[in-house]
Amino acid sequence: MTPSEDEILDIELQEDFLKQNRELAERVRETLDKHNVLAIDVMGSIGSGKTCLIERLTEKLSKKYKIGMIGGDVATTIDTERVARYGAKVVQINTGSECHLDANLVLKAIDKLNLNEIDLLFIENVGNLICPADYPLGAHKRIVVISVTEGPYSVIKHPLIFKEASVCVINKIDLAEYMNVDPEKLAKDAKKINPNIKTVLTCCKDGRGIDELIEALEL
Amino acid sequence: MHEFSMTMNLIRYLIELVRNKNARKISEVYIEIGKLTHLNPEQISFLYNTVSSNYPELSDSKLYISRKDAKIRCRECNYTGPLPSDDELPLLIFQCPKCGSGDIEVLEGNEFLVKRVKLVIS
Repeated sequence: MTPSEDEILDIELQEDFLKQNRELAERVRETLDKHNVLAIDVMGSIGSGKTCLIERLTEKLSKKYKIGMIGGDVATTIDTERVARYGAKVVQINTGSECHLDANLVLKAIDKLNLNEIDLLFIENVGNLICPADYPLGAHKRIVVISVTEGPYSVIKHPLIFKEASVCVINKIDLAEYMNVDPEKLAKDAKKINPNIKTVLTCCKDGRGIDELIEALEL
Repeated sequence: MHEFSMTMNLIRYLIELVRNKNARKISEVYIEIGKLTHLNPEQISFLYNTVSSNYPELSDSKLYISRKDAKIRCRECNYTGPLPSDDELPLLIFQCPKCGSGDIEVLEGNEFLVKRVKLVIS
């Protein structure tokens, strides 16, 4: 058969693969709203102190809210075990290979939680300042956690995630002078990318800044 | 960074499309990637060429990639249009170019879009 005998079917499409995630995120949001659960997507770099921050928040807020936590990691259940010690209901997601959570994984995870027993849900994303920005999860707020130990350029090198977040936490301020990193400069960089972002300086180890964070999150 | 999983989604989608349309194979694929995604067109192209060669339905196909600019709407002054880039930042600065407000809504730029496919039927 010669190529000229081939019939060509030329079709126009509008198939957006990232939209599929956004639609699932809307379903997550609807499910959460139906059960009056407020969800916060905690994004941030590896080792920046996301789990420690959730521990401090759970400690401070467990009288006011019934707290749940979904932990996302490539492997292990270390983080959810840590937060469970503070009385939170937890579900671990192990992504195996993916470097971010997506709405589909969160939809499955919230199915494992009894949402009637929760009114505040922390979703700890996989440590990564890149991919999570492209995958909204349906949470009501997105926050991004970095720490001074990642050096002075972690904000300007990852602008998109700071655009996505409403609060930026700059952690480990107790180590700032040893690192020769100015946390205020990191906060300024975040504000430059996203003028609406609220910035909070914390030391999750001793609890400094946690009250300010609770205020910034309007909790 | 999630170029591999996106490329695999695309390949699975195209193979399904060949079946649904009773086609023999695909000759051309046109996709558009929004500038606000973290998807690198060169990596997508490399992965597509590498993986598609394993599938007879796709092995002769050619992938064309174009970029889609970021488009925003300002909730303060109602400006609707492109988001200019800033010299000091490697990417884009997220405020209204007209009034400077940060209260903006992204209308375009978040896509990984399949726009057009040419299938061979015989």
